[in-house]
Amino acid sequence: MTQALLSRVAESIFWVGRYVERAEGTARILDVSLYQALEQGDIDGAHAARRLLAVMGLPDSGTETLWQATQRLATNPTSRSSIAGALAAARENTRAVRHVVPVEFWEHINATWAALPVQWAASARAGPAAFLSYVKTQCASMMGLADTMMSRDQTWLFFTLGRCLERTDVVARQLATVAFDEVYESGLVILLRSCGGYEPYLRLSQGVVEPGRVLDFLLRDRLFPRSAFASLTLAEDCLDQINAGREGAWDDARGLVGLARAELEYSAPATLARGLDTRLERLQASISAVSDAVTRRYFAQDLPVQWRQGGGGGG
Amino acid sequence: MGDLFEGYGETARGLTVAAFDEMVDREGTARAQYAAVASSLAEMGPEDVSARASRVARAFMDQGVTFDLDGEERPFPLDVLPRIFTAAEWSRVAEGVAQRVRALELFLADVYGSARIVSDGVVPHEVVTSSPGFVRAAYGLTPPNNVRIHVAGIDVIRDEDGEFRVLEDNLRSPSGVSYVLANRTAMARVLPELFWGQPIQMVTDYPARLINALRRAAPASVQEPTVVVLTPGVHNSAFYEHALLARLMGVHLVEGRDLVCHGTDVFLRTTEGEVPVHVIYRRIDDDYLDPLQFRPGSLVGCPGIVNAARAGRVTIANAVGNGVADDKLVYTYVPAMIRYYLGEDPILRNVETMHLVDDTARKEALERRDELVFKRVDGSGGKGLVIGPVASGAELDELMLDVEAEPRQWIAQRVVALSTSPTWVDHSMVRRHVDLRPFAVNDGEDIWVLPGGLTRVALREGGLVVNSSQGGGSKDTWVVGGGVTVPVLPPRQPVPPQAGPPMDSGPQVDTEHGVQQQQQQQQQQPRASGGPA
Repeated sequence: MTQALLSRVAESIFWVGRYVERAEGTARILDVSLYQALEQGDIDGAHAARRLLAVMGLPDSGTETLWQATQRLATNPTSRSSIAGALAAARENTRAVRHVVPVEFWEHINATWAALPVQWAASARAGPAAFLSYVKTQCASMMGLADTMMSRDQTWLFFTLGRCLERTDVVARQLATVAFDEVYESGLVILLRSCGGYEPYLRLSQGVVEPGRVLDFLLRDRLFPRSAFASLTLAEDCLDQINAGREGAWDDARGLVGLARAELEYSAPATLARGLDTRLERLQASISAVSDAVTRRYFAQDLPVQWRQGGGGGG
Repeated sequence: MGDLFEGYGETARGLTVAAFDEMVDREGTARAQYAAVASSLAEMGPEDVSARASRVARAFMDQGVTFDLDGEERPFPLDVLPRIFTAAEWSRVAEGVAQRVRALELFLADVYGSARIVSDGVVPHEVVTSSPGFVRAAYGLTPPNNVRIHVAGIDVIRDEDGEFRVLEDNLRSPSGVSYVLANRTAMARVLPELFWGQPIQMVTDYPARLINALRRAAPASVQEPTVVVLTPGVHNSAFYEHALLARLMGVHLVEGRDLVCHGTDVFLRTTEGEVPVHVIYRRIDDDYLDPLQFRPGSLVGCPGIVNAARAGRVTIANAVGNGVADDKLVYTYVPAMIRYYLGEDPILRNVETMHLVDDTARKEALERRDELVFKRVDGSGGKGLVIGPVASGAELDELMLDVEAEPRQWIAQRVVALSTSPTWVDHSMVRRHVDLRPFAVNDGEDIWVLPGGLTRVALREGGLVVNSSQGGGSKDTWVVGGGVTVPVLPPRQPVPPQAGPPMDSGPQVDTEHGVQQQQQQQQQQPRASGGPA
């Protein structure tokens, strides 16, 4: 069993994992939807804009152009769904726990956050390609620093748990916006690209892009690290290690992750597409529930107690 | 059109004056399809345009889209102004190219079979058998779905009147499609404002079309064919393209030494033992493909694969022996082939060509050698090409000897002033000559022509040679309007996709708590209020 961690610290590091993963995932999604739309002659990108906002779970006025939606998702500092907002939150959380993370990790995340406005300004004229590529590279370096510098202790376990849950959430969100019964091949390509799985998928399928296989790949490929199955399996593993020494005791989070993973693992391929909408809704709900259960069990902390001056007594 | 195009083309000299311009008509107005792009560029101004041009170059360096020049890796220059076709212009090119490929397929099946076209006197016997690309080993080698030209690159130019003409056929391993894909990606990233509001036909599904055609070409008995791309290796100038296609098709990129034949079966050497191969998309010349059939000294091929293909166990794409159909002397018979096999009139005309085997024609051609262009019949990539008006006396003398020695190996054509397009060179828009290579993919049922193809541009003033080794660059090539443009995820219902739940957030920062933390710091370190916490 590894050394115990302060609940507050554990909670922060868990959210660092989620937010960094989110920033990277968002950059990937923006890059693909924006440039794929341009390359494919989607004249005003209207449909791509609708899809983008739906994936990110943001309210859609119906009139926002792809460009405006991209800008909002890249730069809005107050929304946790935007790159700037997610990185700001990741940085805030890291700052509070910088004593337990490698110093390079903190410096990297801090510098990345600080340079965002400059990077965006440089992109202002010619579009966000350079900005998005900056975000992707920086997030990948953060993950690399964490993977190579951090002890596999509780800090790392909570960080990785956060990453895995966020990844699963993003894949489920992306799948939820695709109509698998009537989708064009290029739609599937966009989906695969924004999940970072296009080329691994192609090698697996020898170039054949078809809905059933794409769905199977993104939901439960065993080797591709961004599939829902692979992420859930890793999350289970993290929870098991966090719980080491308390095996057998019921843990809500562990139970929920296991159920979600098993449902994917033991569904026949042919049935995967059936009732996909409800399946994905369930998966997303599970992730939220796991996050809540982890919070209840491990991060439980009372709000700071504020003593009040008593009314009559000698106080 | 703004400053950027002011004085455009006024300094043109020589042949360039007579050329058709892709963007500006004879009255000096921009064609409609260029209006939006021209004004976007003009709005940017020269400084910004130059800045974008250098970003394109950097993007190509980063991606490794380079070619070797004197042992140095250079980015393949991509011009900032795209070449734009209307859907109507393009459909003529696409139909003409498809028609040509259909006829050439029938010709190949015929010459490596009963040779009806020869016995009917349409193409002379000697022309076929004397072609350097005629491969006797290909006789009786019938591909499973009757496709020999899986990929064709038909070079098309525009003459002085703007008419599209076929300059040559490339039916062996036409290269350049990777630049079409890379150009589009780079342009969308560096110059996105040019794309807004333009219904440009997409090029990204080329690899999907190609893998589909290759899978369909597999031997009939195979359910799940294994397709590979065969490259000469990393030192080949087109290696970038071979790797890109393998990556985008999700197949193995192999060298000859990765393949092995047992009997009539071809296998791939892998970490899990030998795995059977069914379709080989080869980017190696016939001569080097199989040392048992062709050059015994070839190290880049695989011994036995031609035999395996003859046994119907593996498909070689493009087929062995296609060189006879893209021979430049055979080229002159293609219009006749189209009439003979298809009973149609050619949609695209050839360029006027003289047969040098004919004594009177040769005499006339050699007398006018300083005004004609001479080409070796099996040349490609600018090799074996002598342009009379720009060649030196010594070159022409040497040419005369060569032609007299081997008249079958040469043809002569009139020098066509290739059409021109505005091109950004040294901070200004200048007139430069361009050509076009459309790519066609034949899957056995349908011949699909990639909308746009590769436009190459001769960056030297007045230059007519567009090869990268001779100072050539390229342009992103658009077909605007018509065709499939919006296969981006259609909504399930007429309403937009339903929004997912909002994302989870971590605990909000407790402001009161934060304020108190700050007060603590101030009390403890009253002088360091601006310092780090």
